[in-house]
This record gives sequence, structure tokens and C-alpha cells, in this order.
Amino acid sequence: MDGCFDSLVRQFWDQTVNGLTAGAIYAMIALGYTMVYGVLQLINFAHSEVFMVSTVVSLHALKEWFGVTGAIHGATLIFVFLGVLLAACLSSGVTALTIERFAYRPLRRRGAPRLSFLISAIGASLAIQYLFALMDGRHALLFWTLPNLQGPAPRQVPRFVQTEQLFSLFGTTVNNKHVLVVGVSLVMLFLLDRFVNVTRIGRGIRAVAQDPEAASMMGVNIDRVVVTTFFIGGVMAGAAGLLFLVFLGGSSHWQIGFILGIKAFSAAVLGGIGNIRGAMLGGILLGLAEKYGGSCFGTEWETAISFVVLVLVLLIKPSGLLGERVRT
Amino acid sequence: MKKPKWLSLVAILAVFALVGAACGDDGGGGGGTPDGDRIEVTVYGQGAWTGGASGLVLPSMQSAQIRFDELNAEEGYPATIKFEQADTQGSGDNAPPVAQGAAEDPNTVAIMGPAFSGESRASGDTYNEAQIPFVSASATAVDLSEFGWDYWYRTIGHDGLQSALAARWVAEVIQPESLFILHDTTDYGQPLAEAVEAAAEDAGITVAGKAGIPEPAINTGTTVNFSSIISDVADSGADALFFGGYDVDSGPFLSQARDAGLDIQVISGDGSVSSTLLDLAGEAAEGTLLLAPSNISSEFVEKYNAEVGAEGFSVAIYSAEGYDAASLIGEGIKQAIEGGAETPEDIRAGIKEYLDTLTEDNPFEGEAKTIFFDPETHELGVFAEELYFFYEVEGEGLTNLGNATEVLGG
Repeated sequence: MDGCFDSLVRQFWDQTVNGLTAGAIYAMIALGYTMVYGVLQLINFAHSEVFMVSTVVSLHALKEWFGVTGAIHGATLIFVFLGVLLAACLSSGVTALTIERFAYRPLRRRGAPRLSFLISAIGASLAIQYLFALMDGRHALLFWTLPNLQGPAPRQVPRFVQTEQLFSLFGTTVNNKHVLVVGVSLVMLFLLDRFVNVTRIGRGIRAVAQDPEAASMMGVNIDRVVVTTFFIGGVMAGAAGLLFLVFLGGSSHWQIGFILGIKAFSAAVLGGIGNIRGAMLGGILLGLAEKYGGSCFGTEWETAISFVVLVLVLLIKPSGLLGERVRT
Repeated sequence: MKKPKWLSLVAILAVFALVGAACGDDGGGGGGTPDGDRIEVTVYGQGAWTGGASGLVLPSMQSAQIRFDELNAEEGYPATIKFEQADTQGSGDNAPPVAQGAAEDPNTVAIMGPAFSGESRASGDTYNEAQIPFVSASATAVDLSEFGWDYWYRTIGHDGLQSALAARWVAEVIQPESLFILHDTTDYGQPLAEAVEAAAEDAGITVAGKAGIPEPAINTGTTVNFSSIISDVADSGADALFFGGYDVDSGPFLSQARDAGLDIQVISGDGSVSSTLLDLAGEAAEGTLLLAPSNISSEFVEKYNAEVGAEGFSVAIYSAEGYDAASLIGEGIKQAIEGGAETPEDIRAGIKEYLDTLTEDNPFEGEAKTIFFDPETHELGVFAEELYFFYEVEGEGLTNLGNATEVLGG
């Protein structure tokens, strides 16, 4: 076996492509954490379940509503993909809104202490996870079952995107799935960036993140800003859910959000929690760090390495790469 | 504005309803009182009844159910056996409370399983302390016999032999230029892969690389992103890969490897021999070589397919073995009751006594094999190479290449 450096050099471009793809998904999920933190100073632990709901709805939409069983091409593919993307984003957006409405807003109304928000977040996360665990094909809750999320023969995402090798980049092949994941993420991240920096509500979000009292005195509707923030975070996680399924295959699981949620949250912290561009940067960097580190030390260590990187960055710059000083 | 008090009450009731729904599905033993002439007993099947790995476990559980149904319908059989699910989804983390529940059921007389090695490790002490015989027809990790569980029995050969045969297959038949070793870091997959690695090296095969999966799907339920592992494999230049692990990981690995353009001969063990592998990998599974201590195209499988019909799995892994384990338990129950046992505790002891009396001269003739146990280790008395079968994925199914004696020669 060769040394760490040799492996890294040989596999560099390969792992770069892998890291960018994984990182794109982390970045999309990280946005939800960072935006909510920016506006409410709250870690929305239930965001991992927003992602999970999107994977469940994507599976359902693909198999039941669009009846996809195998590969599809051309205009049909675009139509189906956009349709499922819409369903996934809407469902996770609505989930995020529901969480905001029932887990956080009542506490905000009463000026509850920070700790209550934290407990409510964790509770919401567990409640949604177990709700879906109960709803799989074996347990009927409220007369409705999700067809076999995890029962015998769990449903899997149909292989509807036929993989085609597209081009070669410094010796590594890039296929259409890589391009799809990175491409869709870039588009959505770009749109979000524009939204936050150009539109009125976007300005409102930035204002509330800077100083909620001043913002409300300037006529910004705080509640609307909060709701929009949650919805957008949910939509991004929704897209991440569909992309995750298309890229990796397999099925969903009621705990599918758990590890991804932790990684995405770390990515948000790495980039500077509360900073949108930071979350994007953090996601990509975390993905790259994982793959490069894994190439060096062995793939078993990937997750551990990503957290070591996080800790190192925070030791040097506690507020994260693009973060500002923490507001007291 | 003050919320009305009844809203809080509704919320509390809703919580109880959710908890009730969650608890309501557990099987409960009833009786223990004689039903006419028959004593009602409960046997739990522990394993992945649900979840991604269920394709590996359900065929054996279904076959066990077939056997218990036959016994229950038999004239003069002294018990009514209720076969309950102890569902762990195959994860060792889920096992302790599940095993606890099965052990605490007062009517439990035996456990069929645990189906996987990790959960065996996690539940063995519970069953052994409760003095409940537990018979596994599919958990293959070598060290399971080293825990000193008096009440544990295994009706298949362990991974010491599986890895040796896999290595011989690689060295003598497949003969790649170099081999990559991939495992899922579980208590089953890692030892198996490492044993193949050692045996392959001894046989003179170059091991070009080795990798482990950080969070395998068998534990987390989440599909693994294999891209970095695939890059590692491609970089190593190996033309064959041995995977130690389960179908929920090998399936996506094959699929993602094909997507990434990696063309490599994949070989895997019994954890990958299931319908789930074919579902998850699709066309990418074509040409994959597999081995398992179970014959999926035996005569018993025809009976399995006939009985189970539409709910049957195309890859009936461990079906005959599950049927035999149920037969052993059933026979043990019968002999216990005929020997005077009436309470579940006595029946448990009677089952253990029966299993201990099986010897080379007085074995149990099962569908899959002749069974008797080593008095010290409770492993099969004889590990026969003929009981290991080799498969290749062709088209939509597995082609049986023959058993070890046929494929590997002497």
C-alpha cells in the first residue's frame, strides 16, 4: 500500500469530482440550518427530517404519480425530473413550515428561553422520525400507511436516469449524474443568492439577521421573514433529497436524515453559521475534505476526518470561515 | 391570549395515542394454559423482518412458519406453536431491547435466530441468562461460539470455512491479477473480508487495496455514497474485488460502480445472496460471483415457492435451513412435553436437552443437511464443504454453479 500523499496525488481529480458532488448535497442541506440560525439564532435540529420527508415524497412521486419503472430519456425525463423536484421541494418546504408553526412559533410568542427552543427542536426531530417509522407498510397509523418505506421489500428509487459518461477531466470521467447534482445545486444556490440579495423579502431576511428590532422598526414583518426563511431552507433540502436518491439509488429510511443532518450542520458551522455563502462554501469544503482525507487515511475515516477538519477550522477561526463575530 | 385548558388535554391524549399505536403492534403471548390437550407455546424469530436487509432473513422465517404450521396441524402434536416476530431490522443496535422483550415473554420456549452475527453478539447474553435455547440458521461469524453460550446452537458452517472457500475460489478458479478487499466494518463483514484477504495472500494473490465503509447502510438504513471507495478501487488497478458485507451495501456499490464506469469482478459472501441485491443493483449485478452455505435451488425451495406463493422471494436464501431450525425446535418441544414438561421453563430445558442429545449416530435429518452439534461449541458437528454453494448472477437471477466439491475439486 502506498503512502498517504501518493494516494492523494493519484486520486486527486477523482476525489475532487466526488467531493464536489457530495459537497453540493451537504451545501443544500446546510442552507436550512444556516438561514434559520441567521434569523432566529436557533439550531433547527428537525431540519434533517425535512430532508427525509423529501426523499419519501420523491420515491412516492416517482413510483406512484409518475409511474416510473425504468430509464427514461429526453423530454419525458426533464418533465418527470422537474415534476418530482417540484413535489419534493414543496413537501419539504411545507414540512419546514409545519415545524416552524408548531415547534418554534409558540415559544417565540412567549419569549421562551433558548433552552426551550433546543428541546423543542430535538423533540420535533424525533417525533417526525418516529411518525414515519410508524407509517411504514407494516404499521398503520391513522388509517394511512406509506407503502413500504421500510417494510419487506422496501421501495427503491427506480433507475430512471441512465448514466452516461460525459467527459473526461484531467483523467477522471464525469458522468451525467455528477453534472446533474452539481448543476442543479449550483442553479439553486445561485437563485437563492440572488433572492436574498436582490428581492425585498431577501433584504428583510438579511435585516432580521442583522438586527431584528431595528428591522421591525423599519417595517419588516418578522413573522413573514421567518416563515419565508423556513420555507426556502426546506425547498433547498427538498432538492437535496431528490438529488441524493438519483445519485446514490437505494431507498429511503426514517433515519436517513440523521448523519447527513450532522454533516450539513457541521458544514454550516464550518462556513460560519448564519452566513448563506458560508454554508455553500462549508458544504463544498466538507465534501472535499472528506474525500481527500479518505483517500489519504482510508475511507473508513471519512466521517471522522470531516469532523477533525471542522474542529481545526474552529480552533483557528471560531466563527467559521465566513462568519462574523457572534452577536451577543 | 390564554390557550384553553382542553387543548393541553388533547395534546396529552394525542401523545398517549401515538405511544399506544407504537406499542400496540408487539406480539403478545397468550395462554400458556393447555388448549385442550395442546400446550400453547411461543417461539420468537429474531432478525430483519422489516428493513433493507429483510430479503436475507424473510425466506428463513417464512420457511420456519411453514414448518410450525405443519406441526400445529399435525395430529397428536402436543403443542400449539405461536411464531412471533422479534424485529431488529438486522441491526445489532436495535437488538438488546428486542431480545429483552422476547426473553421476558413468559411463554417463550425458544428463539429462531438471531439471523445476523452482530445482533447475535448483542442478544446472546440475554437469551443465555434467561436459559432460552436460541438456534441460528444464518449467523456465520466465527467467534459466536466463543462466548460460552450454553443455549446457543448454530445449524450452518461459520465464516472460517466460508472465507477459506472464497479464497480458494479466487485463487484457483477466478485467478485475478490482483484483488481489492472491501468490507462494511460490521462484526460479520470485516472478519470475513479480512480472512479472505489473509487466505488470498497465502495463496499468492496480490491484494491491491483494502477499504471499509464508514457508515454502512446495514446500520444506518441510509444508502452509502461509494464514490470515494470506487475511486480507491479504480486507483488500485485491481481486477477483482471481494466484498464482506450485506446486500444493502453491495447492491448500491455495484450500481454506483457501474455508473462510475468501474469494470471489476465482484465476489461476495452469503450476506449478498438475496433478492434485494438484484433489486438494488439491477443490471449492474450481472456477472457477480457469490457463495453461501445455502442452496437456493434445492428441492425444498420448490416446496417453499409453492407454499409461500406471491410473497416468496426469488432468492430463497436459508429457506431450507430455516425450515430445519424450526423442525429442531418443534421436535425439541415435542420431546420436552412428552417427557413431562408443562411450563415454558421446563419446555425450554427439554428443548436444550433434545438438542444436546443429537450425535453423529443419532442426528437430526433435515431438508438441508444432517444435523448434530459439537458438545462443547454447539457448532455443527461436521462442517461439510458440499454444503457451500457458488452462484453467478445471470440475467435476473442467480445461476447455481455447484457446491464447493464440484467447483473447487478436492
